[in-house]
Amino acid sequence: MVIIYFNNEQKEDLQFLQELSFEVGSKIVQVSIDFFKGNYNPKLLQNVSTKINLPQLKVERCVYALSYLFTESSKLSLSKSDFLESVDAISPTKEIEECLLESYQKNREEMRRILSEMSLKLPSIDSLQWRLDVQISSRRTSNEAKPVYLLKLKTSDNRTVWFQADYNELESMTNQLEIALKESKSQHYKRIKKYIK
Amino acid sequence: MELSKTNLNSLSLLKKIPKSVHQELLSLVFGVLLQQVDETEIEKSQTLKQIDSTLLKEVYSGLITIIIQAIKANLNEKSLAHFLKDTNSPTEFVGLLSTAYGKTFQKIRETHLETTGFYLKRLISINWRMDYIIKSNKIEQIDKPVYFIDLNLQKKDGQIEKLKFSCDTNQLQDLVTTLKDAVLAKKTQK
Repeated sequence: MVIIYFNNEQKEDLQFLQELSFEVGSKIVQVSIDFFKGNYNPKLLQNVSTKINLPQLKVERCVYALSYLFTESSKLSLSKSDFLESVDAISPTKEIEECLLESYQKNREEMRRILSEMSLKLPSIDSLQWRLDVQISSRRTSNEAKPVYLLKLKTSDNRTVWFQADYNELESMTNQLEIALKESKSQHYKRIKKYIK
Repeated sequence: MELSKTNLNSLSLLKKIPKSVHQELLSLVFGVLLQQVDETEIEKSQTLKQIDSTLLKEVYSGLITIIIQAIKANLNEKSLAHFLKDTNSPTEFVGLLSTAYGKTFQKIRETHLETTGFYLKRLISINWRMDYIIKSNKIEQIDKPVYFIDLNLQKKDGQIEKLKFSCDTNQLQDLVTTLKDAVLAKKTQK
């Protein structure tokens, strides 16, 4: 069972959630979700703060704290009960609690996707294009018929690499990669997967 | 080495250009070939301004053609000097030209081969590694396999360049399918 802990500052920031109406509360929750996704809407925040008669800074800090809640819960993939327990620490009203849970469940997959984009990774392969040519003659040799593969590899960091390969090289590359692929279906891999879970 | 009559003629035209200008002309010609100097510099040059522009153009283009053809035919310094002796060119100039040619031959060959030659990097070998991602500092419970592929490519001068990339199982499957098609294409062609 995993629970998220708020530090004292964050608990303070989220205090006033207890006194809010559902309408205003849900708006703040929505702003926090958008903030996480990168769409920060200051105007909406301004409207909310004037409505409940609180300084904008206070509402902003609340949004940051809620974003922290959503980030950590998505990162750890909290179950419904764990999420509710974590939220309990700031004891919001029943309606706001439900609103938080609903937003979490609805947006969890997308938030996890955004987090994994931000994670450490090597550039991945975009596409590989190939062309088969026959080399007929060159300066040093003539009247030959040597098959040559032209390959273009594109990676996710927008790099394009051109290279050529013989038939033999290409065949050995294909064989190696096939072996690599078979590994994902091997017993060893299945065992590890089971143990780690 | 084959050169048109006009080109060969251009060398004999050198007699009309004062000797003092020869060195400057040569340095500009080689500067352009090494891509260090822009062709417009020739017009700006004070020393060359005294020469009639049509004459200058003919001599310049003749020189450029001769040098490039010589590089293509892989002539060394001596063969070029020998070839030029048959043309009607001033001997001192031939000496200057051959010396400069000998010095810059390799470099011009490289700069031109790079731009117009056709040599792609060659695939030598491939390495792969399969990992299982558990978690990162941004997200936990990832539980997905990832492949790291390492291609060794050899450049023309023998240097090895490593190309690294990652892919997940689906991307690897696509890659293997594409490669299998490529290999099959050759088999069916035979």
